[in-house]
Amino acid sequence: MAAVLVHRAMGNRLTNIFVNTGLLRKHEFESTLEMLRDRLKLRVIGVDASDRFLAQLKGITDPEEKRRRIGREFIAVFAEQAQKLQAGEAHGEIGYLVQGTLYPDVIESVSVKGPSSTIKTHHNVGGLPEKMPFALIEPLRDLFKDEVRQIGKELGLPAEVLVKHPFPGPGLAVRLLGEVNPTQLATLREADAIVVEEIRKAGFYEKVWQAFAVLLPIRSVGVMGDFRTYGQTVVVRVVESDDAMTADWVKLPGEVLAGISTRIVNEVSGVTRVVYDVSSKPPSTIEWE
Amino acid sequence: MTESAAKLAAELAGAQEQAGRMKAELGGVVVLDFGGQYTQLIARRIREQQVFAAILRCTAPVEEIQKLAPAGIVLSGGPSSVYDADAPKCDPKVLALGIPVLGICYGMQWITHTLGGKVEKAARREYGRAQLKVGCEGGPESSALFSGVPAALRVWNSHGDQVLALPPGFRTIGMTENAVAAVEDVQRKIYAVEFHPEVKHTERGTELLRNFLFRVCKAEPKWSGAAFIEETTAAIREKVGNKWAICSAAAWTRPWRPCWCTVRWEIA
Repeated sequence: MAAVLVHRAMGNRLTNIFVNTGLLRKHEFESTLEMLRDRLKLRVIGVDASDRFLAQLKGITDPEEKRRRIGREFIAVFAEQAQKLQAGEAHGEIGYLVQGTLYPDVIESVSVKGPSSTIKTHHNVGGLPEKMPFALIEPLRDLFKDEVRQIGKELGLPAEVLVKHPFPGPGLAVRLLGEVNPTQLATLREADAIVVEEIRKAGFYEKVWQAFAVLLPIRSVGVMGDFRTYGQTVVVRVVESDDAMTADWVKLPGEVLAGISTRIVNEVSGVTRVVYDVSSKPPSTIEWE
Repeated sequence: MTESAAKLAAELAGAQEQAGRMKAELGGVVVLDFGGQYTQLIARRIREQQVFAAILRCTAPVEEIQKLAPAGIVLSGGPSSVYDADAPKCDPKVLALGIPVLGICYGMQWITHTLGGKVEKAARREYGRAQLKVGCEGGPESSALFSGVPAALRVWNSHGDQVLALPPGFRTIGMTENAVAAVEDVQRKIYAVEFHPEVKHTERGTELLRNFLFRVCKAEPKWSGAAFIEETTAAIREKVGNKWAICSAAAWTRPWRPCWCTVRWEIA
């Protein structure tokens, strides 16, 4: 949204950098690039840095450490690309970083100075500005979430962009408990794609806040054909929420759940069990890590 | 244009730029935040009427408020009692700018306390549903705030303190069973309500806010998506000149934090 708005103002002097962390969902790198480039006509540099991220995550199981490493690597990749652009085509003329800060973020920061009881510090720039002295453009900083959606409509953004579910920055790494490796990622990616597909088919995608799969490295016994199997567990998580501050699990019809479960066990190798997460936030969180 | 007029125009332009505000945002409403849980909702409801609303902390200097050239000021609710040692306060000058003011809940108590009325801990605290009797001489129509609404309304309350004596110049325009629920000073254009017109559970709450915006403040409904896009792109164009900009598109997957914000790695 912010990018589209800024692009409208300054055309191709705005460059988007899209990093494939290797932790994106099925076909997400390609389809996002296509959306940005071909449909929204934005100028985008796509960087496939999957290997770098995977190397960073090797052997790491602690969720906080995962997040830290991904964040650090992300900033490194982004900064490299920005510097390359600055030294090349932009001829040293990059002066701004576009950021999609929204009104509630601004208010939270403002409240710190006042005696408000909702005191919170806010930091969303992840250490970048100290290294790179860009001024910020925050075109949405005066808007609320649903106002952003309204503006998006007026800007002519495709519906699929406007209703897309939120996805955490560290991506699938925090939906895959334990070590992140290519095999586990492939398993989760397949299971996740089935969840989203079935939810769409049942007409729930636009009604829910998020729908996704989580992969647990917990093995349990199964039986397929005449063989005993011993495979992992996939958690299906579907929640409704207005603002992610509170959320409740969605009471999906049994047949939708059954469809998801059957497909995952049959189509994703290494998975013998599917469970549905029936916890609300609070006390749980939407994501598992 | 005479020299002084040109100078004034330049100064005005400078002031606007300094505040970083666009035309559609001027002449809106400033909501001063006393830390209330509904402060953002107040701003929302006002914007739904196509009037821009900006939330500033209650300690904002009067000059900062004036930069927005507001048509009205709303004082939010808040968790404190005016007698608390660290009770939040506005600059009392806010009430003397000649700009219409609407105090809500704590906002009402602070106005009463500041202008010489009396606020006390209520014998019966009111939380949740209450019945409001619009009670000014001449019926609802004689108060701009209640214009066009029935004489009895279901309202939503959340207060432990209440107004016992009105400041000079004020009159009561609404009562609930236990408390003074709405007051006005038409001369100074100061209005205050104990209940929360911004929550959906208050019957006709939006109409009360509309009455304040359009009958009292005479605000213009000019805040729209199209105006926002037009003015924002123009402002960016002017700001960046020939420079380039970059944006992290990683967050395309995260619709409401489309850019660099994704690096927050927050637990959703």
